[in-house]
Amino acid sequence: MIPDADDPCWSRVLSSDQDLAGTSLATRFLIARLRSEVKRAPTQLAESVAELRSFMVKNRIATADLAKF
Amino acid sequence: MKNEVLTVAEAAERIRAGHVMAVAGAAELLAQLPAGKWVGGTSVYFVTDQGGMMERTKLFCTTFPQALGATTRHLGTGELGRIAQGYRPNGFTLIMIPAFSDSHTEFAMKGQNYPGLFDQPLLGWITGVQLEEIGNRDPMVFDGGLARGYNEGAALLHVELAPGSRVDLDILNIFAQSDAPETSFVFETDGFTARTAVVAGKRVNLARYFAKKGLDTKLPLVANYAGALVNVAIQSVDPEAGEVRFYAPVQAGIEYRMARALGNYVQAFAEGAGESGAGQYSYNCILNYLYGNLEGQRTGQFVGPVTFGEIAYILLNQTLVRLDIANAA
Repeated sequence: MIPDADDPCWSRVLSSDQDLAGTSLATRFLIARLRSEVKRAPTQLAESVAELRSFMVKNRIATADLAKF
Repeated sequence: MKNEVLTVAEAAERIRAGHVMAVAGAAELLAQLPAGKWVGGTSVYFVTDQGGMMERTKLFCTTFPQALGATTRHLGTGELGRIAQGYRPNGFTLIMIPAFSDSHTEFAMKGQNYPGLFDQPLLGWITGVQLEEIGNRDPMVFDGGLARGYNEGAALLHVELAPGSRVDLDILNIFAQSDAPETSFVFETDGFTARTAVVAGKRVNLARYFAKKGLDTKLPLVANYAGALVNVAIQSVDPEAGEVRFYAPVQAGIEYRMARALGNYVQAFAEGAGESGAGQYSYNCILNYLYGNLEGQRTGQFVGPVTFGEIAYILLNQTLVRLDIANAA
C-alpha cells in the first residue's frame, strides 16, 4: 500500500539527511537527487513528492523500500 | 550469467544461436561479430578468474540465459533522454557510451533527470581504448542488432526476463569518506571541472588548495547519496591554471569528502566482495586497475571488463558495479 501524496513520510524522507541503508540503489539515487532539488528550491517539495511516489507506484522492488523510510 | 573469454568465432557462434550477450573487446574484434541480441563496447582490459589482464585477441563475453528476449538500440546524443522508452517488462537495460564523447558528457550531466530512468535497473559502462591509444583512437560502442559500431551516442540492450525474476543491481565501493573537515568540499556549480570549492565555510581555489595540502589525487572525492557512496575521480590538478578536472561531474550543493587512504586494493576488494560475485555480471574502473596494480590480481570472485567509467543508473568512478539475477520462483 503506497501512502497518499499528503502523507508526511514523503516530505520527511526528502527533508532529512537520513541514510537509507538496505534500500535499492535506484531509491537511494533518486532520493539523493530529489533531496538536492528540494534543498535548492523548497517550493518544489510537492513536485518532488509526486515524482518519488510515482516511482514507488511503478516499481515493485522499490515499494519494499518504503518500510525503511 | 555466464562469463567467458572467447575467440571471435566462439562468440559469433553464441550470437548466431540467439543468446543474449554483453561483449567487451578490441574494436577490430567486435566489428567481426554478426548481428544478434548483443551489445558491445571497447575495452582491452579484463579481470578474469586468472586475474587482471590486457587482451587484444579475445572477447570478454557475458551471456544472460535468463533472458526471454532482448532489443538493441543506438541513440544519438540528443536522444539519450529516451533511454527508458525502450525498457522491457520485468527486465533490465545495458548501456554503453564511448569515453570522451559528447554523449559521455551529456549522460553524466543530465542522465539522472531523464524521464523514467530509475524505473528499471540500468547498468553499463563507458567504453575505452588501450591506454597508449588515448587521443589517437576513439572508444566505440556496438549495436549488436545491426552489428554496427559508433563513436558517439549510446548502445543499449533492453533485456526482458520472466515475470517474478529478481534483478539486483548494486555497487562495491572500496572507498570510505574521510572525517577530516579540511578535506570536505562543497561546489557552487555542476561540472567536470572546478576552480573553486567551499572548505569549512571558506571559498578556496581548489587546485592550489590540493597542491598546498599535498592531497593524494589518486583518491576520489566521495559523496553520500542517501547511504550510497558515490565517487568522483580526479583527472588532473593544475595549480597554475587554478583548475581541477574530474572524470565525472561534481554537483553543486552536495558535500564531497576526500576518500580515506587505502592500504591495498586487492585486499579491499577481497574484503568488500567476500564470497559473492560468482556468476554475476560486473565491471570495474580502469583507475582501480591502474592504482591498485590489478594486473594478474583478482577482485574476489568478480570478473568482467575494466572500464573508463561505470554506470549504475548514473555515471560512477572508481567503483565496481555488479548485477545478479534470481530466477522466478
